[in-house]
Parts: sequence; structure tokens; C-alpha cells
Amino acid sequence: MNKDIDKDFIGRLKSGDKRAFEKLFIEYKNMLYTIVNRMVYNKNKIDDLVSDIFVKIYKNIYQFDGRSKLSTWMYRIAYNHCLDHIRKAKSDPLESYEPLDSMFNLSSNGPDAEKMVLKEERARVLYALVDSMPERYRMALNFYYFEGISYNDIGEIMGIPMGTVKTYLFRAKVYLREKMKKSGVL
Amino acid sequence: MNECGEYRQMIVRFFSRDLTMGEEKRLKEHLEICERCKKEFELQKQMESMLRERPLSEAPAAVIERVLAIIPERKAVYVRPHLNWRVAVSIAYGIAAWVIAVLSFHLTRQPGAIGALIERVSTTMVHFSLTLESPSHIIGIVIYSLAVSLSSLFIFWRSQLRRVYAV
Repeated sequence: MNKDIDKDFIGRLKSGDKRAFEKLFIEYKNMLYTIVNRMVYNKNKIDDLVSDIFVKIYKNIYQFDGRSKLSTWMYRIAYNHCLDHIRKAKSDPLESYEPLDSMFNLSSNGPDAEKMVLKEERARVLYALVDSMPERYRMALNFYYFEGISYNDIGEIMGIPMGTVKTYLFRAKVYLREKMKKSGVL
Repeated sequence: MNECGEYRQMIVRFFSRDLTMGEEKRLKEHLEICERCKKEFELQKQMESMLRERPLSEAPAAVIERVLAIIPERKAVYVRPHLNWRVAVSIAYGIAAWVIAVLSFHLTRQPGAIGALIERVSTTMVHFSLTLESPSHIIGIVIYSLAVSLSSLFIFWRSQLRRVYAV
């Protein structure tokens, strides 16, 4: 898709070409869905949030000035939209913010931990740990591994300096490694 | 921090491509002689590969269908821009055109070199061949200046309008 995102394609998007948007949405639907899925714990809201993000992209495409990559610009919209949702929902007692996967007892060294030797199991524990981290560490890590997004682009998406991105990544990785070792799966 | 502690940090930074060439060389040399750090390196490598291989979530087709059903084909509307330097320049340009119009009016009423020059320029541009004293000539200059200033203002203003697509 990246090679298709030339000036002509962006021009079509800006002129409201529905087919161009269809192509863009289909190309990025999983990526944007994953961002929302990994940011927001309330899984009932994900479809609505993703729809809102796509509409927001459509409505604001005229503001895209080409200084960053189109994907970076879209991820920033998704990230900020989810952040807004999280902030609003924090004051709503009906919203659940417990990460579902954090139900694992990761600190145990019991027989269950010993059984988790298969790669799939290790990965499952690792992903659960990632999902239970604070939002800024979790998302810095997720963006980094998505498609090799640069530190600079992650900083732009999250609205933080590049040095802070590196710090978040470093701390997140150290945290994950220690937790994985503690749970006996690494 | 003990020596291995420093190398453990370097292992993490190595996989984030955040080491200098010198640090990378030092780490490599250390891994050749330290079994514990070598093991740490392998563990980190495993973890990195699992993180990289984490699959994306599959977006339900219904989400895209819903979005595409909402957005219209082409429905551009124009909105006024916020005040920025371009708009400020266009306003200043319009005001300047008005000042010129007023000055022209006053100067053409005073016989002299400047008045004659303005008379020549303005009569050429508006294709009037009337004398200075003629009231219709003065009205012509005013109409001309007014037209120029308003059209300039309109062109500048119009060029600054943004298109947005209403949903």
C-alpha cells in the first residue's frame, strides 16, 4: 500500500473519492482495529470506536499536509481518539477497565507455570503481560513492533519526544523480561 | 551497577537498535566470555521475536461496511478559515486598495503633477477620456478602485476557503 500512497492517491482522498477511501480503509482496517483493541479494555466499544476513527479520518483528510506518513497521521488520530475515550470513560462507573488477560496469575511459579513451555503458551503469557502494562508503555511497545515504525513516528503518534519513546521501550522490555522470568516461562 | 548489569541493559538496547557501534562491539566481546549474559541475550532474542510475531486483530467486515455506508460520495462544503496570516494579508490588501481609491479621489481634485499622472493612468485603465473637472471622471475612478479592491479581496478570500466533506 505504501507505494500507492502517492500524491495522486492523497489527492483522490482529499477530493472525497469514496473508492480511494474504501481502498485505504481495507488496507488499514486490521492495523487500526488492533490499535483500538490493544488500547481499550472494554471490548464492547471497539467496533464503535473503530467506526468513529474511520469517519474522523474521512472528515479530516483535508488537514493532512504530507509532512508525516499518512499511516502515522491515521495512527495518531486513532491513538488520540482512544485516549479521549479512556479519559471520558474513567469517570463512568459502568465502564470496565480491568484488562481481561490480566486474570493470569503471572507471579506464580507453580505447576501451571512449568507447563507453559510451548511457544504458544509463552507468547500468550507475554501478550497478556503487554496488555496489562500502563497505556503509554503498552502502546510504545505495540507501535514499535507493528511494522517497524520509527522512534520518530511513534513520538509523533503519541505526542512525546523521541527520547521518551526510547525510555518507555527500554522500561517496558526490562519489565516484560523480568516478569517472564519470574513466571518461569522464559 | 555491576559490569553484567550494564551489559544486560545493553542487550535490551541492542534489540531496539539503540547502541552505538562502539557499544555494540563491547557487547559482542563481552558475550564471548560471559555465559550468563549470553543466555540473557538468547532470552531477549526469543522475547523480541514473540513480540514481533504477535498477530494483528482481524477487523470485522461489518465495521468497514458500516463506515462506507455512512460516508457520502462527494459532498463538499466550504467553510470559512480561521484567521491566519494569509487571511490577514488579504484583508490588508483590500484596505490598501481602498486607501489608494480615496487618495486618488483627493489628488484628482488638485491640479498638478500627481493629479495629472493619476488622471493619465486611471483614464487609460478605465477607458474614460474625460477631463479632471468632470464629476463623472471622479466617479469612474472611484468605481474602478472599488471594483479592483473588492475583486482582489474576493479572490484572496476565496483562495483561502477550505473544502470539507460533510458526513
